[in-house]
Amino acid sequence: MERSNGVKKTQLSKFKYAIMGNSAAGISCAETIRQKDKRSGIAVISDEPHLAYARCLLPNYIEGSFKKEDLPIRSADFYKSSGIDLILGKKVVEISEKNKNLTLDDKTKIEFDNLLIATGASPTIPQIQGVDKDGVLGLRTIADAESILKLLPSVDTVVVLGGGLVGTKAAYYLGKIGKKVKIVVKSPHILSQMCDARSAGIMSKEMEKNKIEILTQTDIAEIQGKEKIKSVKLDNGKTIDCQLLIVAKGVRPNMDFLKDTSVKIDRGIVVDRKMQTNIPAIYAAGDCAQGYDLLSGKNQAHAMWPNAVKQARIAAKNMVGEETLFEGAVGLNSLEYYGVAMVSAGWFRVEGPEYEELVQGHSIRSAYKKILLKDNKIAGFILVGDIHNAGLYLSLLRQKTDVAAFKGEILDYSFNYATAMDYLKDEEKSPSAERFRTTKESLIHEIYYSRIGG
Amino acid sequence: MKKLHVDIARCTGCRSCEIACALEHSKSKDIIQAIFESPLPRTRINIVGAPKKFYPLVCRRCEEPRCVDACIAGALVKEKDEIIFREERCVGCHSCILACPYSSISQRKDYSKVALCDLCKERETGKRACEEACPTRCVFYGEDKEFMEIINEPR
Amino acid sequence: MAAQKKSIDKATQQLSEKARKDGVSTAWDRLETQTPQCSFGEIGICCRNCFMGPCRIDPFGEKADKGVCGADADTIAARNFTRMIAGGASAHSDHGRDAALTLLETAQGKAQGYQIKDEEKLRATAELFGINTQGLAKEKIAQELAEKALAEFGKKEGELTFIKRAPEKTQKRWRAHGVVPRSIDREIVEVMHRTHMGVDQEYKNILSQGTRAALGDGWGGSMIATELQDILFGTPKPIRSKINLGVLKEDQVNVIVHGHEPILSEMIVLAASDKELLKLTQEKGAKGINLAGMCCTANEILMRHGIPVAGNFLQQEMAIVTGAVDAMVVDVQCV
Repeated sequence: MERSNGVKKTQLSKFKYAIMGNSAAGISCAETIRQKDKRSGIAVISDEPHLAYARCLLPNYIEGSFKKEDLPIRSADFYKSSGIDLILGKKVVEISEKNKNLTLDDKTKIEFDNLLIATGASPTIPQIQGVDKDGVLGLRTIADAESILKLLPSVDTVVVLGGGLVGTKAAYYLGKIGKKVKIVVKSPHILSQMCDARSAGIMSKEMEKNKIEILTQTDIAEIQGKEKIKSVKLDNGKTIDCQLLIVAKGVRPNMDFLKDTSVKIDRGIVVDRKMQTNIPAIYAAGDCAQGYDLLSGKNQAHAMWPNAVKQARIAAKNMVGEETLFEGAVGLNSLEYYGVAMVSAGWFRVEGPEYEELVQGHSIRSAYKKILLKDNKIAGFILVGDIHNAGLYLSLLRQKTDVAAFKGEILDYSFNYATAMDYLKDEEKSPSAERFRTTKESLIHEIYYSRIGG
Repeated sequence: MKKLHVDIARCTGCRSCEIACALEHSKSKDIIQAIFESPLPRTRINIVGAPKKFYPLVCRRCEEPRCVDACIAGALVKEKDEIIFREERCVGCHSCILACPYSSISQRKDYSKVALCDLCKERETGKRACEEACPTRCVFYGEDKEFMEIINEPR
Repeated sequence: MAAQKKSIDKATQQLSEKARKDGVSTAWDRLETQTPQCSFGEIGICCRNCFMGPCRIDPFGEKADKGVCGADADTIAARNFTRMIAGGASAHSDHGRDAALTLLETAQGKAQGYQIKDEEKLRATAELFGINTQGLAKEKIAQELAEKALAEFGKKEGELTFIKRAPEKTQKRWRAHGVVPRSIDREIVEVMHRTHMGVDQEYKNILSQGTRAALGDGWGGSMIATELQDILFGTPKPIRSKINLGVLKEDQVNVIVHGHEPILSEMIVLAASDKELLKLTQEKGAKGINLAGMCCTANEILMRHGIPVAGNFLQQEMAIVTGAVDAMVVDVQCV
């Protein structure tokens, strides 16, 4: 079977590795397989007609700082030179776990030895009257973005339903290009999945300063207009005139094509720590998967780019025979609006005697910092403003380090990797770090103290 | 892979490397002009302190870089064993800062994009800016093995 | 560093090569070991005034923007610069003090070899200080003038006497800004006081005091030195001479005077034409004593006696590198 770029003309093709999905997880898996297996056939199938692109940059594309040709994260040349067969614009309609093949919507059948399902997720569309009108859009694909761009010239007011990362990002960038924006969010504050009330308050304040209206504890009851959206009616009775409604109420894993299979699904495709489903040779990774959660030890769906990349890499390693376990996903979020950065990871909305909150309000360059400890181990943190220790806290969280010894200093500006290093395992070998550990005190210190006789 | 190593025993925490790095990545390359540039130049190497010791934080060129996994914009990529940061693509989301376990990616003042050590590829003199600036010559660029030899021989 | 980079002067280029071959270290070598020089120092944002430090401001605004006491970059730079002013003013002021003390001792007949050469200038300067010179002998005038000059260093109130020599408009401007110096040493002490930790954090005030101390130097110590030295050693007139290391002579005893104050170098000039010393020189096989000067003291004896100048401040080591200098006599500073 010759390796080439583009759609296969034959009715049946066989690949050692078939990958459903051409985004973070799909690409990560394909690349990793190719690094370790230089010869076998890899097919990447996507229902979108595009090269792998940075989905999270769609708001930037709408704003104009990224052009459409800047969105891809891999070039056409990448697929060609890596010997990856890219099949675009085709949906998988059936998977036969017995025969180890899948059928595309053009009746093509593809046989595989190993399959990775990395189909991602799609925006959850709430059941609201009028949700099928023109001008009601999600923001997940290039197609969504282009629909929005087409409408924009005639849009004065945008309503965003949902105050999460996607919703606030859309609001932020649309606000930047001069649209009137109103965010409708059911929770008491925006970003409720990513941070607490106080940090959300800091962000809302910035948004409101920049003329974005935020309506909390509100939902949309009805979408009004003829074929095109004209206004939305809120559950408190008020009406807002608008020409665009962006639905950002979360995503649902894409797994309908598995309904006639015996692949175990729950809120996502259930996988073990090797990213394998209950069917050997079928793996799943990314937004569609429900994998091992590091903090709870249970299976949970995580829709996060870095987790998708990592999970797919683990799947790939296991596919080529290198048994590896996934360390576990952690909820991760980071954003910056109007120059104020915010990152968060893990949990922050749990209670009980084993939990302890360490909080620091306004200090050197930082608006707010909070670490949630469970039995003296970091279970979650939120940083607003100065985020320079974010990576360090995440390491302590992942390694489940007991931080009792430095609980009092951990939120200080001067707390740093060097002071915490003795409590951390270095995952990346570094002779400098070794040198640091074996040196009791720096030479200049030695000299100084010996001179003053101390 | 060649990377930056620091002989911690000889670091005095003077921060000359920080200034040199920021200067190297400034537009004017002149200290007096650089402090008026916008955005302000940013060092990629950061000295932190521990009791009785100093520790320069700088990119370790990891085998499986977490920052590359985290980058949603494709600004941080691994190409042919090299970690490359394409500043034009950076959207300032800071996912990489959250991901890096060694605090090696720097947030910038009044500027969303981040800063990462690029091993001074553009430099004419062939030595990294921090290497040259260090008054105790404790910054070294090279392979792990070479560094181990240097610190084990009496200097 | 290549010789051409060290200096455009050919003599210096030649000698720096010789220095290199001789294994002699010069200022340029020491500069090389100092390079690159600390940028914090270059911008002046490092402070070591007290024990809560040393403090450094990050010029790129990321890390520390204030010292421990709260001083920001402007305060620290102002403190450092103003203390440098105090240093320079002190040097010049001590020089003036020395000139005044020498005049006093000369007037009292206690300084052998020194005399009052410019009586006209003596009278004019004394009048400026409010001394009625009618019918007074020059020694008496000189004594009173010297005492009045010495008083300028620590007087209780008022303005420095020489201030009234400045144009009216300039004086008015100084008074409006509050920078008229009151007494010489006092202004320098106030610089050290204001720039101390926890005293004056406002950089404009600090720089104002620096200005006042600088004026206390220019119109105080320096001017006293100039005028009194003219009185003691003669007011200079245009004169021709030679400069650069080529003034050294192969067949004479080369003596270089170096430093700042003619108090010593004037005596060396006298000694260089002393008959007995010249006889000794000839006995030892040299044709004579070749006196040359370097640095500011060179100017003093150049303008009054036409003594050639062997070179500038940067060339002082080069002079020694020639191997032709038999003695370098230094009075104060700049070595």
